[in-house]
Amino acid sequence: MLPFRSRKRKKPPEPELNQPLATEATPENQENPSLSSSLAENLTTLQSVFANCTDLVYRELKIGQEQVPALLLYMDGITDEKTVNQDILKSLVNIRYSNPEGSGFNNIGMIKSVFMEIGNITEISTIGEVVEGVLTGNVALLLEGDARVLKIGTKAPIGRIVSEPITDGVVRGPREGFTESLRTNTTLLRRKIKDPNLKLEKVVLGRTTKTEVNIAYLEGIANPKVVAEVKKRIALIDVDSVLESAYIEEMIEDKPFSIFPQIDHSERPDKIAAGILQGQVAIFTDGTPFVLIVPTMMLHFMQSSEDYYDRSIYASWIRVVRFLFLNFALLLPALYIAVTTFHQGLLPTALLINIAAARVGAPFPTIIEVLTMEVTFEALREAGIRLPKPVGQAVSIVGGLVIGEAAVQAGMVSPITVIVVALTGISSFCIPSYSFALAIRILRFGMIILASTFGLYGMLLGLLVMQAHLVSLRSFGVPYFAPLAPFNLKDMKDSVMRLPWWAMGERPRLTANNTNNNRQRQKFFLKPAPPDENG
Amino acid sequence: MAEKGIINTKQFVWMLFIIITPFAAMQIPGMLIMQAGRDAWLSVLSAWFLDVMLAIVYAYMGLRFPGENFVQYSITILGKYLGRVVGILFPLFFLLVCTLVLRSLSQVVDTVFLPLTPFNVILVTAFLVSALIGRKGIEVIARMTEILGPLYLLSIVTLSFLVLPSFHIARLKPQFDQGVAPFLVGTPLMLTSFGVCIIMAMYIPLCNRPENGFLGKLSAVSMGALVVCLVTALSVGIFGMEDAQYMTSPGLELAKMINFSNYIERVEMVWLLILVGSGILASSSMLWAFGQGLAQIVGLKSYQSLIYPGALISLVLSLISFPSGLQHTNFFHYTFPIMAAFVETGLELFLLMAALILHKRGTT
Amino acid sequence: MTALIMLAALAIGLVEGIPLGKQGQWKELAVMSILLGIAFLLVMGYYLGLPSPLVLMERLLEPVGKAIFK
Repeated sequence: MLPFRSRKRKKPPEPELNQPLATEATPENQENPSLSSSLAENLTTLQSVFANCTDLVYRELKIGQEQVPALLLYMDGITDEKTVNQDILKSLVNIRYSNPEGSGFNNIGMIKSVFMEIGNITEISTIGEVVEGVLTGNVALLLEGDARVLKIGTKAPIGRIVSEPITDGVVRGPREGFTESLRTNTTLLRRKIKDPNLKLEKVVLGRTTKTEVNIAYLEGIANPKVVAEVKKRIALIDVDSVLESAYIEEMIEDKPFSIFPQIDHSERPDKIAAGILQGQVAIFTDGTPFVLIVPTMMLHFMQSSEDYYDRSIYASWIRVVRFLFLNFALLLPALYIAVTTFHQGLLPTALLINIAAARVGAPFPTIIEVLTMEVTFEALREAGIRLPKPVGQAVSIVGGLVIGEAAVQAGMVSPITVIVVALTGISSFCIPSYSFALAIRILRFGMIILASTFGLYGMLLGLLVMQAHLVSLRSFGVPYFAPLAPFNLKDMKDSVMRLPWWAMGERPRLTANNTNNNRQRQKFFLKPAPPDENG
Repeated sequence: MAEKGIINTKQFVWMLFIIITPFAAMQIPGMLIMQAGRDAWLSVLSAWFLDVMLAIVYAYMGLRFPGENFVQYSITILGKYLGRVVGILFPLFFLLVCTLVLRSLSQVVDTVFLPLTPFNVILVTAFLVSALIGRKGIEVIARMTEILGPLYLLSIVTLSFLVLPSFHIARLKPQFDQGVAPFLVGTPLMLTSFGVCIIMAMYIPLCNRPENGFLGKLSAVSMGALVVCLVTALSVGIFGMEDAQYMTSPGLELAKMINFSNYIERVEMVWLLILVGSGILASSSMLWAFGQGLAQIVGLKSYQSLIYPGALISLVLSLISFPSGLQHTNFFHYTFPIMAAFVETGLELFLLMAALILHKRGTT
Repeated sequence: MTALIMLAALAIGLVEGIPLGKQGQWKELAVMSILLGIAFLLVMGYYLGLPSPLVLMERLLEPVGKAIFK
């Protein structure tokens, strides 16, 4: 196997972005001055930084017997109002204790260690850190005569409650899905994997959005090279905004121009937990329920989390069906064109006569018919997704039933074409991953064109090129088409088939390729058997 | 570093298998039956035996010069100048084989699939795709053979089972009715097409376990021999020697025999698709071997840029050399075996002798 | 056909040659150009009525082959 490919950059990364940054006082474009010990001076500086920010709250108060002026600074809405009022303000107001040195070095430290009834507190000392802290939902406590500031973590748990994920639906399995809040998402993960080896490393991406990103992996099971590579690639990202995990996905994938998705994502905690447990690395992004998981192989896109919650025989059968329909989704229209235009001999005579009879009077050649119908289908699909739900249903009824029916009756398209296109559409819904289905949808058009020029031979050429591309891809050092090619019998137990849980004693070799060879997942020979009656 | 890919023994086996079969399963059985008559399948077996003997030489040379393919060790053995002259014959041979294989494949595609499409268009597309794959390097080729190889083997075994009811063993008898001469002449003909897998000498340095080279070749050539043996024996047993010897491709005629209760006919197209696919893949390997070998002779850092020009030369050769299919078949029948025997056995044995006499060894 | 082959040679030369030139791999570029030149010469020879090298080889070896095989 190849070592990890180094990601070469043709030009060195530009030190500065072209776009103007949102705030003047970000650490990058100022020398990030330290705080002064005068409260008024700090206040002026911060006020100029936060000019015209109505949601910023300055709460001035005097604490202790000396009536030391202090200032609480926080963003309304992203901090928890209750914590600010009940814990921070209360504990500050309740300071009756007099500091012997008056305003001195100990003051901030004293408040931090003696008075504050909050868990998450850090001392910071620069304007930049204060600004960043306030913007990420912390409360900053400034004190007259002290050049340090207390950053008090009070992030408000805003966002929707944990609900059932909309994508990746299951019949049997957990019903919870990730939300837009990063901490909620990592909590959902922690509740599944109760192990100190589950590491969550924090990275902040986006100069303006300051999106928190967490890299989650199981130490000792994940491949340390993959973890290092993920960190390295993420560290190279220098953008102004990260609003969705797709921003990261596009910047860390191996082949940016490949048509196939190379990084899987999911909004199901159980799927992410399962991935982490078999040695994959998850990338949580704040603000989106979709969590990336690497390294991804093609087969992961063909697996649903429910495969593991059904009995293995059903799961294997469903997977076989899925693979069959994956081929249909890619090849069926092309096959129809190739067979009807070039190789009529392949069809049984009765069927051939039927098709020919149905095509009598059809004004367009098959290729035009199929292409028009396919494009219409794509449009219907897009219209159905974007519109509000009730309207979307109307669109699909009008499109599917009315237009289809009318087109056939008007003799514009032959009924068999409608059957083929509809079957293809249904087949592409059988692919569990939406992004992989998109790739197949695009490739289908290529196949249609190839089939209409060279028939079956053209389809063969297309498949060969596609296959060559698929086997040449790798995702974070893992061959994309594994375990089929390069073939790996041990990993085949969870590929097209899904063996029962008692038979999957080892984690997949390619993802759990760790240094200490820690692959065993469970005790071997767990196959249930009736109790031995002789013993 | 020219090629960074590493292949494992399984891939090695399938790659050799894919290289032998399309070559051997198309025209060769017909020619062989013409030469050896009912003894054709015996010729296949003896060619298999001789090829295994030859494989010992190649495997030994691969181990004697670790990490070097025959292009490199011919330079090591014979020195800078003579070594290069001898070494360049191998890449050129591969280019020639690529020309012949793709030419005959396109011929089949043209007659079976697309009778109305101009032959040259098919030829160009075949060359384009195989150059595209070849340029992606050995790992991609290896992984693709891992998918297509088993498919091929499965399809040909299924084919044999399906046509078995029409097989009459009486048509294979008697053996040696015209003496051993036909059998003896058939053997080298078969050997030269099995011998194309001397490309193993290009693969051995890239194997993760070079010492398995011989075993790999043994299993590959055994599977290949099984395939050709099945095809020749079945076509003689089904069509009779008199008909089979004038068929351009007995395997294709066999596949045409299949029908499922008179309902689905012309299944041979499906079988042919696999055959054409593996043929294109085999020529990708040839193009790759050409590029790699030439790059090593000249001492280049990368071979990738030589694949497309190589494919172009090969395309031009197949366009201008054979005005008709008959000439191509004649070339295959009379000229190619002589040349192949010279390159495959003569050159390698010469290199072996030279290495033994000059006491040359590879550096470990 | 001759024109198409030349066009193909030109296209290959541009697509493969420009990256090589950029990376300064002059030797690779030279070998590639020689190969393309050979393809070009072969086509020109055919155009002018010269036999292909394979035909020459056939003339040389076919008698031998015919002596051995039927």
